[in-house]
Amino acid sequence: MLDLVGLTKVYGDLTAVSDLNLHLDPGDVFGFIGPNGAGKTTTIKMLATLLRPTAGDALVNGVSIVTQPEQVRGLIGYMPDTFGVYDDVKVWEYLDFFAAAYRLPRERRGPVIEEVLELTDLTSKREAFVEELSRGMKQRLCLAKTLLHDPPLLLLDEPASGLDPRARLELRDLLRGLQRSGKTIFISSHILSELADVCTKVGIIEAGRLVAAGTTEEIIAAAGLTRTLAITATAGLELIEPLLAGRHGVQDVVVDFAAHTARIGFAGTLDDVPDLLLTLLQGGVKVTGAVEGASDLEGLFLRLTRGQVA
Amino acid sequence: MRPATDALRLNPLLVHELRRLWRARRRLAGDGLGQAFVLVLFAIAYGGALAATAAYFKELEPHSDGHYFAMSVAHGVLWIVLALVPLLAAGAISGERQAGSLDLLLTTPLRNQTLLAGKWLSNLLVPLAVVCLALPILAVLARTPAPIIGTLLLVLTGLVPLLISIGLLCSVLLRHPVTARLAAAATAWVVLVIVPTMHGYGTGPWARPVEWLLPTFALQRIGAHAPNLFVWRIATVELVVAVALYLLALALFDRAVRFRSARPTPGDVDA
Ligand SMILES: Nc1ncnc2c1ncn2[C@@H]1O[C@H](COP(=O)(O)OP(=O)(O)OP(=O)(O)O)[C@@H](O)[C@H]1O
Ligand SMILES: [Mg+2]
Repeated sequence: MLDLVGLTKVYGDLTAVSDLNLHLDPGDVFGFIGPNGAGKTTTIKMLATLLRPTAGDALVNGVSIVTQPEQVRGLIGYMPDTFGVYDDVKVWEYLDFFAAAYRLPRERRGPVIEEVLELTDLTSKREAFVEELSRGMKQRLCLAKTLLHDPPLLLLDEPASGLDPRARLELRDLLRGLQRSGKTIFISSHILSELADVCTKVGIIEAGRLVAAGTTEEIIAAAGLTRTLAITATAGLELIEPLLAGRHGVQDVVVDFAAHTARIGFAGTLDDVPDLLLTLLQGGVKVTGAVEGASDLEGLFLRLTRGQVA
Repeated sequence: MRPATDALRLNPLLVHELRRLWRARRRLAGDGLGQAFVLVLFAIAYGGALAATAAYFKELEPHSDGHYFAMSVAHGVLWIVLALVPLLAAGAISGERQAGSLDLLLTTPLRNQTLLAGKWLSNLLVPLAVVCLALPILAVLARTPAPIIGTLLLVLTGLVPLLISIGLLCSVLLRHPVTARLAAAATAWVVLVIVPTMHGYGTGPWARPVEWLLPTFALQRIGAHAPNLFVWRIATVELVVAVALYLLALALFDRAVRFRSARPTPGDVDA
């Protein structure tokens, strides 16, 4: 669906993106993660045909972004990090303009606009001026715009930034829905937690290089990373460390007595969780809750971008 | 208002731009009124000075005896067009860039020609509105002789496209809308007003070339006479220059703003 082949962008003597290679299948949600200035926006802009790659190419459904940018534009829905919106038009007019620009026949524009408004929960704002919308609504409007022409590939540059927690959850549900309808989604972020359970694949970019890419599970395995078990307990928190000391796979234990919580980092599989809990319960820890952080992207990110993975 | 989208379906950006101008009509009218106010102050001061030297006045406008009010309105139209059009046109691309909406336009399948043509055409709306407002005043209130009205329209036919093309070129060349607006306004005023004024009317070493680019003063030169070869010539030259500048803007847009198809050159660095 999307293939990056040695994609490279050089600005003067700065290599912003260096030799990216990647393959995504239809229905993949790819989380493109990296610190500020890593080259995420530059990569997405190249895929959106806004920047010409210095070297390499990317193929969207086999169409080259370098030699056939005009055809690629019909296949992608691009949402910039600065969601450009026109303040002086109404919500439906904004969408109507882009629908026309994407060559939707006039009689189909109305129903399609209603559909994307519904999907992004903006139906009630149909007649409002764009400048009256909140930041999160503008972001959703821009997302609605990217869906108008039903593109198979969505390029979303930090769609979650500036959203409140509830809006993030909604965005996540929306992305899941889009994934189910078969779209490939390329999404960049440095806010990681909300990407964790939407993404089927993750790529970590640092200083223009892809330092790791694959399914979330693969990367965790390859990097020898820990899973975390977050525990709340009413009593016996002080027992956790002695109980687990020397236990195979347990890497670190952080206890927060004030909050009655503890985080246990361990290398292992989901099957190890019940055993761990049993040990704690039998040892006298009054466990009231336990959450397993299956894909601790935050920790993964910090480790990888600290240069702990070659 | 719901513009007649079907009639204009060829260029969605044009419809969009006209809609935005319509929404900004109050602000624009305010700007226009501001200009008119400056003009009135200017006319009072200027007129006072002129009244004292009637002979000079005669020399300036030899053929417009008895039509001072009409000539003032006609000049007012030119003044407002000269002041507003370059500023508006210079925001075409640079303004989109600043608002962050340029990237959205560039990722649509609209062709580069369509984008620029939409921007160019939408800038006709404001001068058109000014003319539509001014015509009844000229014809009814000022009882302007038809030849003066004809001359004015002919002058505008050359001047407006030239101003739009200058503005559009600046908006493609310069990244920031404020810089683009300053550059467009400065270019328009230096080339079309200040240089001609400095070199007088048909005298001095630059008299000939200046005469060719002399839209504002064509009116004074011709006065109440029928539009003659002189004004036609100026309008034609201006139209040709306008088309050339538009094509230059399009070429620069292709090169610097949005690439089309390509042979990738190694080491290619974007500005
Ligand atoms: N037009 C440009 N000219 C020169 N250098 C640039 C240009 N655009 C980006 N860069 C550089 O390229 C590098 C990558 O920038 P990019 O915007 O892709 O980072 P990012 O991963 O999107 O960061 P963030 O998380 O802050 O959005 C940075 O070092 C940046 O300074
Ligand atoms: Mg970025």
